[in-house]
Amino acid sequence: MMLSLGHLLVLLLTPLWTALLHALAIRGWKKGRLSPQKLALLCCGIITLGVSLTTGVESATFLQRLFVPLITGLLAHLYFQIFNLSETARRIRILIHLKLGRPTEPENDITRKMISVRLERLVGLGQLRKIQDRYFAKQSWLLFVARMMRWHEKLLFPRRAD
Amino acid sequence: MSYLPPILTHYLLSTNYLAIYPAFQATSPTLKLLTFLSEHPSGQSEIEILQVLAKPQLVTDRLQDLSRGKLIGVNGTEICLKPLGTLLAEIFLRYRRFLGLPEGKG
Repeated sequence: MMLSLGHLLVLLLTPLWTALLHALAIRGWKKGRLSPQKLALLCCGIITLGVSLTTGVESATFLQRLFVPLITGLLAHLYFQIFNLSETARRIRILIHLKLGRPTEPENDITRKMISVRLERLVGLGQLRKIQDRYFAKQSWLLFVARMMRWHEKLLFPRRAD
Repeated sequence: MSYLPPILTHYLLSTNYLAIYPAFQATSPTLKLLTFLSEHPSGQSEIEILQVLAKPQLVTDRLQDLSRGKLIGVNGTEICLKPLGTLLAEIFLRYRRFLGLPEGKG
């Protein structure tokens, strides 16, 4: 499979291109039009498409041609997971709070905030519906992912209580 | 160069799995929220959801994970950052600043 060193470099630097586009998009995008996750996914998609189209594999079979979009997609997905970690992970937030020397809040307040923030985020992402102060699940892609992950969690940790 | 594609593909598939593993290991509250609401088709108010899901365990589990990972140290009631935790916090702070975003709402 013929992939030049330059093309390989462009391919492997996918997270960097995504981060650059993401930083530009955040500054240029009108606030509130898209949730942070959707904007990050959009940037990942644009970069995956762009890199896949510009980094071609010469004289390759169909499977070999799949290599570039697959690797770019995996790298872009990795970037998205890291962004999502910075956006939503409680563990990262605890570390940042400690680093900035902020006082730790009582556990009850933190857990309530954790749930409230997630409810707001899921409504914003269109994954939940809010009707008269009641929240309803929608048949959405994230619910499908949640069910798949729960199934896998039970497979990994069968003794864990629900 | 023929060995590169399978190595790279395998490495990236493994890394992607590792990136989503924390959601299994520490039960993601977002996923729990979604499955909980899908089991209650008549909907739930925020108070009802908080009564069921907002448990201190959500925080203590994460503190234990950070401590086990040697990212923080716990001396009685005092929690302090260890060098690895400081490095990770610094990386994420700089990354968020680069993006032009405030710190996350985790």
